[in-house]
Amino acid sequence: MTGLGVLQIALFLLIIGLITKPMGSFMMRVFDGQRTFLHPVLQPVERVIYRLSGIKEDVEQRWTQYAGALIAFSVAKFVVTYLIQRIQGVMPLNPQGFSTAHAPMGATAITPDLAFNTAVSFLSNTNWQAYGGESTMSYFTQMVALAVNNFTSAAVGIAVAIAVIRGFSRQQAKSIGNFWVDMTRATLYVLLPLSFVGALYLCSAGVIQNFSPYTKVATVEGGSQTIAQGPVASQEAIKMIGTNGGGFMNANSSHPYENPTPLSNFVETLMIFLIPAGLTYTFGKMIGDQRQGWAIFAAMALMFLIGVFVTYHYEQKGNPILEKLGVQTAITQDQAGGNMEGKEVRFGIPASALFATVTTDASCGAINSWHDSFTPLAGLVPLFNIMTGEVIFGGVGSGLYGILLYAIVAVFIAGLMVGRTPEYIGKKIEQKEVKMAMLALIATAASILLLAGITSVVHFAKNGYWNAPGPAIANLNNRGPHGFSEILYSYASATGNNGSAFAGISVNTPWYNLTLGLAMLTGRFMYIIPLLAAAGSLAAKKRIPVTEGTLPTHGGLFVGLLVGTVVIVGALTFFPALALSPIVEHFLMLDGKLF
Amino acid sequence: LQAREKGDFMLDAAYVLIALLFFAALWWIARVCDGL
Repeated sequence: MTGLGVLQIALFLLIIGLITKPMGSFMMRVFDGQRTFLHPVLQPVERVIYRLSGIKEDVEQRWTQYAGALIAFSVAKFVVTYLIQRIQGVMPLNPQGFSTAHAPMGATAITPDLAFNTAVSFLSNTNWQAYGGESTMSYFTQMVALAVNNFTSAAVGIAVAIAVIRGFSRQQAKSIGNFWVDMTRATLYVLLPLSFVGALYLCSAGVIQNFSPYTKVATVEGGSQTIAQGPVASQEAIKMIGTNGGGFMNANSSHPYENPTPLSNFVETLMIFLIPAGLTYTFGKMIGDQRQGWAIFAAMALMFLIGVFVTYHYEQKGNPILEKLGVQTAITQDQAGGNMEGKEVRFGIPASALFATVTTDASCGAINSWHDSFTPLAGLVPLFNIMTGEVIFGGVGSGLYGILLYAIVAVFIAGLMVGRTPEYIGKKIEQKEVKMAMLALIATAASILLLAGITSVVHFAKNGYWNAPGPAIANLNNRGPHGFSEILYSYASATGNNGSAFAGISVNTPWYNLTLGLAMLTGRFMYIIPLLAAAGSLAAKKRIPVTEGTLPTHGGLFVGLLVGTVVIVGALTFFPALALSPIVEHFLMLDGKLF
Repeated sequence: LQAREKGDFMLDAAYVLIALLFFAALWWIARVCDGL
């Protein structure tokens, strides 16, 4: 590791720490209905939206009504997104003629299974992409179907997090807020202004924003090359700020039109944690004890630092097999050393390790390097981050409600150890809350492990619909434990609503599109529904006073307990699968074998 | 609409139905959770 690399990571965390309070205070005011500096401009717009859509701002919902509204909204988003993809050939803003008779050579057809996968992917904030953006989607589809989902899926995540916070902050209440109001405010006051500023910055940094047809150029070797164009900056900003992660281009944030400079790379990385970090402060403010919010922040920061330095260490150490072959892997003034496979030279190892850790700490899934090319233990970090539910700052909203789920489990375990009824922030954690936390954890773990297991062994018949004949693992580019990592990562990424790919696997087949789509739905909604149920139950309870027997949840002991719970639950659930993938691959690499 | 595969409309209907069934099941789970 280099001093500059370590400094970059330290500077990153410092900036995140500094923006947490203003960002968190602002969001608290927005969701509490208080005035902010944006109200003179945006409040009239908000009122028009409510009037046109019949939303009653002051009418609150029970948790089941809140969940029902969320489900209805998701159904509508699915249908519209599916339809737009399937009819993109007759829609405007399609200079390349995708999905028409004039589609360029090599363009990907949006088949029903791909449309299903993509609709589910974007409505669930996953942005798993079984297609290459610039060779499949028209500008209309990118903007109206995909970018709109980027805003609304992020807003849904924030709304659910705010509803869960209200569960803790309210007493003897029947309601947890109004889904439509929370979603409107999240979009209007938080996501749109941030994305507008972000897109302007990205344009200034060199990210493209146009509706031009693709440019054909002659290469110096006499060949020809097609350079994709499009409204990238406007999608790029929300892609990062909304922790969506779906790239306009197939190469995502390693493409110079999405992420042109080391500075834009650093800013894009900051954008991922901007809202999730702020929400920890919003949490503290709304429950009336900011120490609780900072304790959550500290637990997240600790896990972030462990992850980023493990990744950085193993990537900088490189591949010992190459070293034995005489390849220069030590860092020098002229070269990065370590493992540069799958990385942009513009960014190098520290910025790639930082990006990979941040994008999987959060449920972002944007990438600026290929996780498939990481050394086994460095690749283990993104995989483990996703498997544990991306609660290290996490996705917008989903990170906070995810870590609160672990907090419930942590105080439950602590309560078992000392023989007392667990409490968290003055609320008794009882049977209902623990059942809901377990339901969310088991459903998501089952989705990852069962689907990865089935895909590893399933065979397909000749002339069948689902996949090419033969085993599903024939879709892999690597064999052995690395190939298994590719399958495991896919289902973990889909279930965790991350969306990044380990790569090395052809997933645009009906089998993968359907099963990964179901994994995305399970991972998103089998977390949200139990947590809303727990929030409804908590909101109805009285706050109990702090006594000598109360476990303090704002100090180092609780931070350690929370981190331990995340790591131990993750390790107990996924260790056997991880042992068969990156862990065994690491030892085989030390033994001189590559896959 | 694309017609690259025979029976596309049936497939469209099938995939939309799968999503709708998932959300219907989700609503049922929510009701069960409410009663716990």
